[in-house]
Amino acid sequence: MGEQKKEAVGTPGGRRIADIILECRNLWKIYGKIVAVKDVSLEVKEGDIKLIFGPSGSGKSTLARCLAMLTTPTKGDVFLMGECLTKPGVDLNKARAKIGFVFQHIWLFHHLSALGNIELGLRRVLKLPKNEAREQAIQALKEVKMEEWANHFPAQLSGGQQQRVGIARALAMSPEIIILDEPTSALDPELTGEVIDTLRDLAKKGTTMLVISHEMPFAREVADEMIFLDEGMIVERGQPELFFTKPSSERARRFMARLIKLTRRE
Amino acid sequence: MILTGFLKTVQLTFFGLIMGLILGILLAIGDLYGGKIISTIIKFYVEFFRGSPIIIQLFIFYFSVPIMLNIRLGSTIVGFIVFALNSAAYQKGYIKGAMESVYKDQMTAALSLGLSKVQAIMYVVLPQAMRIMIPGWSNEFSSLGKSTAAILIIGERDLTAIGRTIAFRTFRFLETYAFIALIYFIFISIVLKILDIIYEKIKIPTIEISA
Amino acid sequence: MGKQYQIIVDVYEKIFRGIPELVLILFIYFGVGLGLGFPPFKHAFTAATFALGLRSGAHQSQIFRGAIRGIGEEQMMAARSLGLSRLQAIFRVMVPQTFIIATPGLGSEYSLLVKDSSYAFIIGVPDIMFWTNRVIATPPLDPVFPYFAAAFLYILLTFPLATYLDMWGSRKKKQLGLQEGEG
Repeated sequence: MGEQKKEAVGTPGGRRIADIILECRNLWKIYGKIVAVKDVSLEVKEGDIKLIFGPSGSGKSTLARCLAMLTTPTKGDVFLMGECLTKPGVDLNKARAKIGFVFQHIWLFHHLSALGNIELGLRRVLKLPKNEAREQAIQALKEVKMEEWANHFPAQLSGGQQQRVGIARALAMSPEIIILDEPTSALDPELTGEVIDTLRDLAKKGTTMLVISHEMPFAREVADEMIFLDEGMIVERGQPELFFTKPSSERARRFMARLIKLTRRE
Repeated sequence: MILTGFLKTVQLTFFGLIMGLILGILLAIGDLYGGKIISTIIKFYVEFFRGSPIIIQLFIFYFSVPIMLNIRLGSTIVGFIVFALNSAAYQKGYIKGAMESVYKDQMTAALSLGLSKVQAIMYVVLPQAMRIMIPGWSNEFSSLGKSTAAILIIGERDLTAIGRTIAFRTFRFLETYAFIALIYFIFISIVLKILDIIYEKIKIPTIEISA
Repeated sequence: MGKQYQIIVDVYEKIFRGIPELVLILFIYFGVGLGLGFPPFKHAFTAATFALGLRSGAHQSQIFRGAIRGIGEEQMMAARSLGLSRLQAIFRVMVPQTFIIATPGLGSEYSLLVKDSSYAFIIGVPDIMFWTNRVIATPPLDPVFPYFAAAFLYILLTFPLATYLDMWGSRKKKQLGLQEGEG
């Protein structure tokens, strides 16, 4: 899968500026009087794994959705492979097909089997013929070790299994980047492990990812950069070691201390 | 004679139900995505057909509308029109409710894959909504089937009308009406049973089934 | 309650789900009233009222059963655990919640009943429909305005109250976190 993806990225168009896959500049999202995202700029390069974390209500999910253009930003721009998505007239459906998204509450399509969930996008968006879509869907299920459950419906799967299908659904579209919005936080603690393992596999294969998560051991292991978000703003960013040893901002320091304490207790 | 009346009743019921479904889907989509003006118009439409008795609706389309539009409408056509429009008003409610219950999360998930809004409605929202709707649809079938009996007031020869003729001719009111009632009962019960079976078949599987 | 009782209720509900209100009215008025000569039903108004009452009973039984199921055993058990008697638990705990859950359903049943009452005009009960036709017939009028006026009158009778009951009930249910049960 990793190699396949590299090929996809290296398609015509030549070299892009430092191979930036997804980027936002001065992004704002305002709901009425609430400022959910405040002037955020960040970029994800090919093969990067960025991890966003921060207290609840800090605007992480909103930011993720703006980046995937599932919510329209109030101000600022989003670029996918150098193409601006925030100007009018852009085919957003096409763009969204290239950005994989994994939801906190999973949101599999209830009326379709695991396989059907994955086939839907392949057939209706990528317009693959039936058997090819099936093949790729099964391949995607294998990636997340769920091929045995292909014909089960979401309600027949555990939360962890459902989320793995959710990841496979995003993965199967061969997206340029996968955004994962707290993929484990809605799961029972004993089910987070299998999902984290899946993510670790993806990381090893060089998948470009933007992950919102509070799974600190996972972050320390795979993240290239961690971004601490609070009150809609980037408070601090840097390599994981920075956060685990000496975060420079007081807010990040306190939040890290609390997280680490929580993790230990578990 | 009873058979022709029965067939008329069946015809009216199924035509009304199916046209009502198609119109109801359109009304529901219009109400959900059509903006304020369309949704207000739909609200008035629905309130008229749900708030007034079927008898008045039949009278209006049999007597009033032809005068207003200067056309002629036969009693069968009026029956088709009224039962379709009436059923659409009820079915719109079921469809809208079902669509709303699957709408938001599933829509976002579908968009995230790159599906267009229309595709998302077609492949994700409607298939789920239809499944959720079947119990409501059963209710609508039985109440529509029953209300077709009212068509005798504009002179259509449906099952009830024929029953009434027989009753007056033979003076066996008790037996005739009991028999007519029985035919309705059997007809409606059989279709409800079939809908039940369909529902069980296409219902989205859950843990209970796999266990 | 006993199994036999359940079967009777089930049959009662099913029968009235499958028989048109109009046929029921005709059966009771012409069949039982005039045919069999059962005195009360010789009167068109009484016959129609009785027929509609029977039908409404079947509907309301479903509404209340759904409501009671929604409350569930837990509430009963919690009430009994405090030492309330079965009767006390029913009247102090179950009944109040039942009515809240049932309110929206009762609202739509009310409007259904108002509309179905128009069938009574077919057996000669002087209701709105009857007088509308009388107005149109003497002296002959265009049958446009009177029918629309009659329709409006029915909507006026049903819409405000049914909507109010639905809104009140739904809000109350939400506030209290109550829900209907299956069936």
